[in-house]
Amino acid sequence: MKSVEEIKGIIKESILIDRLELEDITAEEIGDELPLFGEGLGLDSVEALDVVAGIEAEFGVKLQGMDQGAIKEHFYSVETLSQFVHNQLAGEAVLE
Amino acid sequence: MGKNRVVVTGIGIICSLGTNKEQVISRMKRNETGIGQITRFPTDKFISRIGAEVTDYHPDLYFTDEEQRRYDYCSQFGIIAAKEALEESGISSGDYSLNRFGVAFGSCNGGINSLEEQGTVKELDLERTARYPFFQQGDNIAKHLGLHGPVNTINTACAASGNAIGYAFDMIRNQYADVMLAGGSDSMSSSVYSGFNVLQALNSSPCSPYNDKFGLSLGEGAAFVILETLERAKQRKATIYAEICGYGLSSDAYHETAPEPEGRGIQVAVDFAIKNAGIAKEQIDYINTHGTGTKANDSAELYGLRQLFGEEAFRKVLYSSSKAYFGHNLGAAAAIEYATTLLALREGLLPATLHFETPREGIDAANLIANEMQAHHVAYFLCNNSAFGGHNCSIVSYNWAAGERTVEAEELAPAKRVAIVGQGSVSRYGHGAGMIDFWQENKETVSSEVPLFSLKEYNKELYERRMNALSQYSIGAAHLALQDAKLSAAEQHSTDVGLFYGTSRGSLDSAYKYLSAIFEKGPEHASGVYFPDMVLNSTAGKIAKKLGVKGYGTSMSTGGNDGMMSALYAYETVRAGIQTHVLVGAGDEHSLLSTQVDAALGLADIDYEIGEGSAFLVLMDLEQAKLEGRDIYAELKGFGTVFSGQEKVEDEPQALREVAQAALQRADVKPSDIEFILIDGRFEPKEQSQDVQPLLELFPKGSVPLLSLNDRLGYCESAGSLLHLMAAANIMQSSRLAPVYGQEVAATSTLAQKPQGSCGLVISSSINGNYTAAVITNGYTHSS
Repeated sequence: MKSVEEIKGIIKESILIDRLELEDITAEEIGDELPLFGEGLGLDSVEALDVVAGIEAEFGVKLQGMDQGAIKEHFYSVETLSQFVHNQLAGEAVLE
Repeated sequence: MGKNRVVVTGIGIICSLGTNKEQVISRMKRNETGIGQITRFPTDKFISRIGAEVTDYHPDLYFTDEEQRRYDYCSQFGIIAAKEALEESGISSGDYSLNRFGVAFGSCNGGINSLEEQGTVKELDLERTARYPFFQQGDNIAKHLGLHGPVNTINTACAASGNAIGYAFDMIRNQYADVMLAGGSDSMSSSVYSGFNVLQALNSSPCSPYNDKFGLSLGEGAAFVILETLERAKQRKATIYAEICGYGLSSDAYHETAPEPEGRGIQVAVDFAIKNAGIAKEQIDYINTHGTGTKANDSAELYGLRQLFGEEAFRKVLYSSSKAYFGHNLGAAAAIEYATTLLALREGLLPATLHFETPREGIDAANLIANEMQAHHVAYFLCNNSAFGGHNCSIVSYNWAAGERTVEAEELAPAKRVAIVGQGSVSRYGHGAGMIDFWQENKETVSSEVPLFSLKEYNKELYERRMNALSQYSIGAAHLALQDAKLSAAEQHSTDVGLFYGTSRGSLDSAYKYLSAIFEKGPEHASGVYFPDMVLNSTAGKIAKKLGVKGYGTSMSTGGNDGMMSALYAYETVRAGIQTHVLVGAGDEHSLLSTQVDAALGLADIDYEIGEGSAFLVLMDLEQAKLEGRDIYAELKGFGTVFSGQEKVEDEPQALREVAQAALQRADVKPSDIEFILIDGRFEPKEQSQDVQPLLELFPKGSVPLLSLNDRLGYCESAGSLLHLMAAANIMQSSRLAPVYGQEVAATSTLAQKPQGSCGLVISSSINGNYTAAVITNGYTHSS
């Protein structure tokens, strides 16, 4: 199973940089605690849904139908998202 | 002469509830829904398995084998509905000249099925790929029925066919046509379904707008209405369903997929519609709302309406969304909803919102027609639609089933004159505000090795990540044109400025990225960030958002004269006094996929290289521009538009002559007043060629040089016609004519300063023989 650190790397490189094509920033420059939305990376709601799709594609977890509230909570930063994915992979978390 | 009143005298529908209007309305009266299991493609990877498909459909009943090869489902549905509407109207071949009979078509997804069938965007076959571009389906309908009046495809996604009905209304009211088929079509698409899936917009059970279960159900189908003048309808003793009294458009300028949360955009469209109809808002009895069922749409829409009508007054207005009957039919939604509203009203009934149980938070359902049709007396009613890209449309109609509408003779405000007050362009000659004058000093083209234009370098504030080249060029050109006009949409009342945009293909680079992910990885891997660019109005939506333009907003595709068609539409909107300022533009983008589409359309071996870029004009009420002391480039005197349906000019050379005649006549200008003709097309207009003889015979022999700039600009499918219009405005102000188009013009390349009152003619053409022409003059200082 992938470690949280590995998951962080994949999220930054494959999802944020490659999939969302974030510009003027490199994977290394994305801080673990940097908020993905608003003042942080400035992702919008459509990009958030694309991150959901990216997580599904990269990690094979099923998140479709996840509501906006849960997205806001778990998708706050690379840190929270990686923990969430890790828990999903470990089968610990149950989706609401 | 007063303006024509416009009435509906025929209806045709095909949708999940049936293949003709009798089936559809009888099932609606039984409160049945057409939403069921999707059968066209696997849905096991999606959050929803359902949709509103046309079931039990047998193309053999309607089309020959050869026609079935030529027409995709989108075209087929459109033709079926159009023919039904035509048949019901009772119009026979002798009633109208086919030159005065046009088609206004709306579509969200055009020929997307033709790419899906191939399952790749890499090595495409020519025949199916040629069916993909969004102007083909509307052109197919016009060709199939042999119609030669104005033909235009509106691509404003889920508002497209409502806008098409509005455009058709304008065409008749402003006497470009006597009768129009207006409507829309869209077929079920696996890649569109994938996009709504990734955006989590789909409902896992049949949708019920305003209900507490969120989500929409996708549908498919087509509807058309016949519009004609009240006068002729009465003469023919036709059955009149309704009178279209006015309509309104707007841009949210807010977000690519979500509506402005307080419904400001739809509010502006309704406000325009009611004002244009010349009625009071208190006269509206019923609103057929867009109501998709999504969380974002329904509450925003009703909030906007409550603000417009007032809380108290809105409680007196009945409303419902019809989408629970037949799903969200996207580009056909407005037409299907409009047509079925008319069918219900004919029987004294109002359409209902089915499956309704519990109103969602913030929704007052007291006046919602829920679960079954209700009998009500309705005189004036609205049909509203809103779209991705932020485009909104509202139509005000009067129900003739409630009795004949009598109005006092309209006091007509004199038509406004229309001036060009700003220009901006991005072309192979670089980007700039003001005149394109590359012929003046033999300017060099920019290297084809580097991107034509970077919006990020031009102005970082206007750029967004992943912005495709088409949007970059177009936002750049629009911004330059506004600067040139010393105009800021943000400083003006933003709803005073309209945006009319033409693009034949949208960004095929974005489409390529979106579709290749689906074709290669599977539909559940659709990209939510590229899906919004699959609708062609995405670029117009982005321009509106970046520049704060919130007035009339529309986007269209004609396959070559898109820019001039946008100019015609904008010109009529200013002329009618609806908007004082408008941005008119068009754009094209090169990409891997566009090269394949070029090959499929036979553009790989034309007389010119393929060009790209964008051109924008700012048009204004001429008198107001003069009062404000603005610099005026030229006055637009009049437009004409015809559709030959022939790909080759040589097969119908009369069309060039007819469009020129129409423009001259509407401009009230004599052929001898024309000093030059600029022509935009795929062909080189050689003066000795047979193709242009009928056109040239209109003018005194040898008096008018005929030029094309495409040997310099490249063939820019959509923007080319506006680049020619800009060039014409500049020629009017210059002492020299462009030394373009080889030797023929060398002899006439230096003309004396053109005297006041000189006119030029600009003609644009499409791949299917769609022509739009304009007369332009420097005589604006004289009052006419």
